[in-house]
Amino acid sequence: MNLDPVIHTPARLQIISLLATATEAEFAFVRDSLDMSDSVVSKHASALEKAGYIEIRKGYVGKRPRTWFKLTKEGRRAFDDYVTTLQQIVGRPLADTPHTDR
Amino acid sequence: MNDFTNAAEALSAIEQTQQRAYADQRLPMWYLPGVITLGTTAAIASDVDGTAQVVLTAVAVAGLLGLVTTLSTRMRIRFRPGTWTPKAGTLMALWIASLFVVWGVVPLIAGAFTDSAVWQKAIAGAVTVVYAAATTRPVESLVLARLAGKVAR
Repeated sequence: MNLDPVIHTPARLQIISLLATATEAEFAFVRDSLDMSDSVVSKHASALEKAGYIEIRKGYVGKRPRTWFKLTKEGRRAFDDYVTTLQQIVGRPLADTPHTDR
Repeated sequence: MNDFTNAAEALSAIEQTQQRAYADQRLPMWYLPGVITLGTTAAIASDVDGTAQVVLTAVAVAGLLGLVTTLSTRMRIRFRPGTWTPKAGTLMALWIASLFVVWGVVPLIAGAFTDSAVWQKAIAGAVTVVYAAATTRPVESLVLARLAGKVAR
């Protein structure tokens, strides 16, 4: 079974996993929640955008610039496929049973 | 960073990331007590007359607008309704209903000690603020536990 190489990198998987829980998340939220540096978030977000998995939107809240990330339909489908493949490999649904194979 | 060495490790990373993301979406602690305080202020305004009524109503309206504006400008993630489960939604609805019950019942109890409608509402507001502040995080944890089993995709 093939795993999507774009997603199968810890930083990108974390970003996509986080975005799957939300409609849209701000750059700083992603950075702080995942405990990553600005440059790491930027680098991997750009790669995900290039793959068509996320949309990057820039805007303002008052006078402060803000960058928002959103999972695209293609990104959500890729993540869904990725999780399904992982579940098939491990043979268990997510969060339903404790890990026994680590 | 290197790729994951096995599928279980990747699944574990997804679970941990999503549970942390849910936890980080919690409302700030000042928000609900603030709404209750301003709601109480508006309720008290309906029991007084003249300038006091105008001032209290203006304070309540301006305060609520201020709270909503502050929350929206500080909002760093937009919630996705699809991640909620019926159990989590029911639990949240029951808790919100309990806030209204406390707010509605306390004036009846306070009525045994004072005839003043203003004092009854003020006491009810104070008790509800304390109840909300004490239960917000525990209830959020219970709700989060019910979201965690359904990993968002």
